[in-house]
Amino acid sequence: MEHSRRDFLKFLSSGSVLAFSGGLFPVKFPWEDSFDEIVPQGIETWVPSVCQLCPGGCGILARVLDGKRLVKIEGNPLHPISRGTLCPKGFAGAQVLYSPFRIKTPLRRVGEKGSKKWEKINWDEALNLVSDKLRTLRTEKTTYTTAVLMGQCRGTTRQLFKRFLDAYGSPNLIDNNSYREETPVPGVFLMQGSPYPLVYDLENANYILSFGSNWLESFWSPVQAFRSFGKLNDDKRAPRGKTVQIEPRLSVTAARSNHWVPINPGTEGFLALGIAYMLIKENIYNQDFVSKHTFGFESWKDPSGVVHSGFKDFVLNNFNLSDVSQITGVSIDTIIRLARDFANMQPAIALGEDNFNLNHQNTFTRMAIHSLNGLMGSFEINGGVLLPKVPPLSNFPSIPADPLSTEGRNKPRIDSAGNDKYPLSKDLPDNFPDNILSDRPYPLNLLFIYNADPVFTSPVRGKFIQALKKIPLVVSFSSFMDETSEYADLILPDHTYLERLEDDPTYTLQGFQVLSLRQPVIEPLYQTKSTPEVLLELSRKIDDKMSSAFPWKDYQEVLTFTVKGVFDLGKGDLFGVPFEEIWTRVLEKRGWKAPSYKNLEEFNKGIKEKGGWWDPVYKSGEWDRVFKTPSKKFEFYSQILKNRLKNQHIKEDKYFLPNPPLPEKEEGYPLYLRVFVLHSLSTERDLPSPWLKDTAGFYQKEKWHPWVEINPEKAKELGIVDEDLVWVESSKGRIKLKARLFPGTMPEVVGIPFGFEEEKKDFNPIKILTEKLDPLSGIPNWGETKVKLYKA
Amino acid sequence: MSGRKFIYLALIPLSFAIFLLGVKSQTLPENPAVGFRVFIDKECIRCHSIWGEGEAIGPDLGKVTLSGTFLDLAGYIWNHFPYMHQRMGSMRIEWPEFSSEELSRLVAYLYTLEFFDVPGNPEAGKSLFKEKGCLDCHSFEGKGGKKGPDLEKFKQDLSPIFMVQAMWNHVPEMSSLLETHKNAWPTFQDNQLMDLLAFVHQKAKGKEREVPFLLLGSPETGEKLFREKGCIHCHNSGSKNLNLKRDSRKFHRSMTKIGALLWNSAPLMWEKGEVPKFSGQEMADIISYLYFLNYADKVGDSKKGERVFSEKRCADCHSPKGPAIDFSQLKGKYDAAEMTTEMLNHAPVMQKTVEEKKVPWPRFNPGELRDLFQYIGLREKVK
Repeated sequence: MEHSRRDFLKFLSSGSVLAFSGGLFPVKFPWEDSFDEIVPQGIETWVPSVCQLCPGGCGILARVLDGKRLVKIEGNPLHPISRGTLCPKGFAGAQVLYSPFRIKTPLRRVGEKGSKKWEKINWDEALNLVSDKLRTLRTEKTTYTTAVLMGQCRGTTRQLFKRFLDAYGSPNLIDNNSYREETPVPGVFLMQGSPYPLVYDLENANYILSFGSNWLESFWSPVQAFRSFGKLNDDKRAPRGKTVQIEPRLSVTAARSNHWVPINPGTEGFLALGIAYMLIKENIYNQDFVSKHTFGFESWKDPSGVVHSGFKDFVLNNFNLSDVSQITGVSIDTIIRLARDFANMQPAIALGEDNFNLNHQNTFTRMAIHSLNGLMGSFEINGGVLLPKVPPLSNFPSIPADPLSTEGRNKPRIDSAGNDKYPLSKDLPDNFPDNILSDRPYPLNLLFIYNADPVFTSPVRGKFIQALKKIPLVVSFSSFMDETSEYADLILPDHTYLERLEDDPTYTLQGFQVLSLRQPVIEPLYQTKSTPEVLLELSRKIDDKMSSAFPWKDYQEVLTFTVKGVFDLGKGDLFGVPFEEIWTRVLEKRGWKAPSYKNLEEFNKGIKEKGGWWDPVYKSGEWDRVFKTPSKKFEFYSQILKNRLKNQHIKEDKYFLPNPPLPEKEEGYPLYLRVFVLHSLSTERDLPSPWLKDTAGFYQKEKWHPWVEINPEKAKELGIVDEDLVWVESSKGRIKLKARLFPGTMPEVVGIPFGFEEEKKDFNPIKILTEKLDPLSGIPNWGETKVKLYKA
Repeated sequence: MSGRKFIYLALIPLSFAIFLLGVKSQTLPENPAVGFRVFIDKECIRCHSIWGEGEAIGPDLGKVTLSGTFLDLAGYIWNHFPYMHQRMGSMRIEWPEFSSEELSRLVAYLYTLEFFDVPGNPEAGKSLFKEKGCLDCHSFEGKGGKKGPDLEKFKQDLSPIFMVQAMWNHVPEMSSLLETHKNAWPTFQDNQLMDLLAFVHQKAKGKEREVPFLLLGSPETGEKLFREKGCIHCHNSGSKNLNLKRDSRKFHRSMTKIGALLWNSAPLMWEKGEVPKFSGQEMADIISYLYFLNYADKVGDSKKGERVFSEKRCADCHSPKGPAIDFSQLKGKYDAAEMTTEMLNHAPVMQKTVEEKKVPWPRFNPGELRDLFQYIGLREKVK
């Protein structure tokens, strides 16, 4: 390729007007031979589908000409998540589909791993290579040495991957999705015990106290967050909702909130407990909820006569306002005001969820924040914290008995998730490379990578590269040559989400179940294949036993089977105009239904036409489901943690209470690095969209390259002026970036955006982030790397 | 079969047919829920909420009592036209145009709203559980009888219709148990069944039902079932106890209140012989049929209609010499639903006329439209 990818994308963005008006353009789009055709012509259709550029699950309508050319993407007005709107990423989907950088056919590595030398092969050859390997491992009875590293993926496709590994005989489905869609934040898990994530009913809350959660920029469902923000500030609403953002940097969320409270990095947990101190001291917490639905608030004596310290005494004895103010840098007056507002403006939410860690003991910090929700009883109410159910897809039938696969499934996981070192971990992708490199607990022979790009996103990227080089066969399903795929042996390119059929179960922020259908808006442009179809084909090629575990003709048949589970539920309705939800809700709350379909056939047809199904009712007050702790209550004192740490014989109560750590210091590195995520780049993977690259740093007037934000006073002290090139150095390494003076950054903090793709330039901040993991959950620590800055 | 018995059986459908002919100018809706689509399509929902859901510009239709027959309800819409039209104008909403089918669906839907129960009070339900002797057979938290299942075993998502169905189908067993304990048959009034259900919901931990919710009952199907299951044998226009013609208004109440009526009279029914059992959906259809008994208009009084025609000053325009269509020419042309639809579609034009003529907007009391239409001589609805 003559041009670098970056050069091309820049050119495409800045020169698009010129190009479309007949100027020179180096790459031909696939649908035309010349640029004479400025206005596309053809018979238009609008195809409902689902965006997949983040986990939000927005419904889209694709405008397609003559059934083969996508010209525009809009929000589906019937879809309950997006309601006719989209975020900039959603609109940019067309640039993903038509990106010149797509992998168009299966590729086999011909040079050294990472040398970027490939040869094109056909699908038969590619699938035979993989099935031969899978068959060999089965013959050698080492099926467990196969793993799947999986990014954003849910619904039937996830179930199919799981079934594939179960039937084949491997325990190694490793979730590498930083949004952790399938699991709750560990601190929340310790207090509620539920294995599923929570949602926060933002639009119906009166007060949102966000501890570093950048919910107006990099939330898991940005369109819902934006709409909630609009509703909070609706003229008709009385009183208007109030939002407070607590973080060391004036993020977009902070700038749009009613108050921004700058705080010393990593001390958010202390502030939360300072607020808790005030709520308890002034007796303005929800005493009724605390007495009925919580455990460990008051100190108590256990059956053996030992007195345990409860949350109340722990907070009153350790988090007085003057200490908290000194540690956090937040004034006592502000702490008092926050506590009183939080108590008086009910329903109120303490929002402590974000995809990245705040400090090196993140679990305790998240517990401290979540304890505020426990104190005010912000659960199971409108405007509070809810635990949604996911749409009930039909369960697959049992896997035919096979001793080999049973034995393989029962082997220890390759990432050591759930071990004593990280007792709260369900997946440990960032521990995975260490294990591979040391052959613990066994060497890995085959790795599938689906929707994940750990070389781009993981602080242990260097180890990942080494691990990928060591594994004999690495198969990537990526549609693009991302940084991880560069180290693969074989690439079996998937369709993009606009060419693919699959279901997408999710939920709204009000806890309503939503099942969307992602359907191809056009026929696949290239010789790509849907990954679930590849799994089905592989299962047939391996042996009869594998084949019998997958009795379906194709993925469409699998989908029809699983989606029937939702039909059988007998609740909810197909997507409809907003008012239709009222009728469904009115009926269901009174024990009736009036769906717009009469039978399964109409249900399946309706899903395709309208985009999906949902149930706009949240059944609140199911306390046994919401609090799955040993006490069946919200636990200020985590008995789950106590059970998980029983081998360590810890007796002090403070280890089971929200006990956030003081920030660590590092000699020679005086500044805290805050890596933040911009909306347009908030995804697990690099998006090949010039539109998004061009709007990424609009508030800094920066695009295409990341920058480092420095407080002007600190810059002056360091002799740095605006737009200087500087080195940002941690004990792990250094990267060179343009300095931007930004008064919205606290003096001891520097901020760098994440998400710009790399092309021979050392500016990915991941490279200098600490490799320490949270000691309980094993989640990477993005929030507490120390750095120094100097002119380049 | 004896001759007398034969005559008796033959008279049953005949008396029912007479009863129906006497009241019906509207057919029973197949599915009253479909009217909600009209409610949305015609943008009624932009002003009217239902039980607090939706916009609150006009009255919350879940909280007002919309009783009366089809024509009474249509008249209610007509009477409020000037006010609604003004408010809609300020919101730049056009007055919708209806087809007669749409209007029939909409009115049936509005008529249905009273059918839905208001949530019960679990505390009151707990007291009822003890007062009504339920505790003699059922237990909760380790207290109570063992004859019936403990409340924990009840389905978590027990819906009102399933509770009514279960109670009805268990009448014989419960009856003999009550006799053994020498307890009186417990009766329920007002919202007591919903209170009881709210209490059961608090205690129930049983697995959710495979089919938690049922389709809203169909009055049309219910009418057929009423005959097929033999209810008509006792409840016909000639019956003393529950006479459908005479007591039709009694059934314009919520589902569990109708359920309570059935339950309260169950021992009396069982005394007279075998009483049919119902599946959940059958029970829903039967109750829906009973609820809709008062929906169909009776035949109007032509003389009263003539008086209405004169009092409301219809003759100013709708006479042979008037500027608008002569009502005498409508004889046999429209049925009641079509005529009402024409009226409502015509309302904006008519409002201008009455304002110009400075006459008050004609408002109809219950029964007046029926009489007026009888006077005009509309044709019977052909099913």
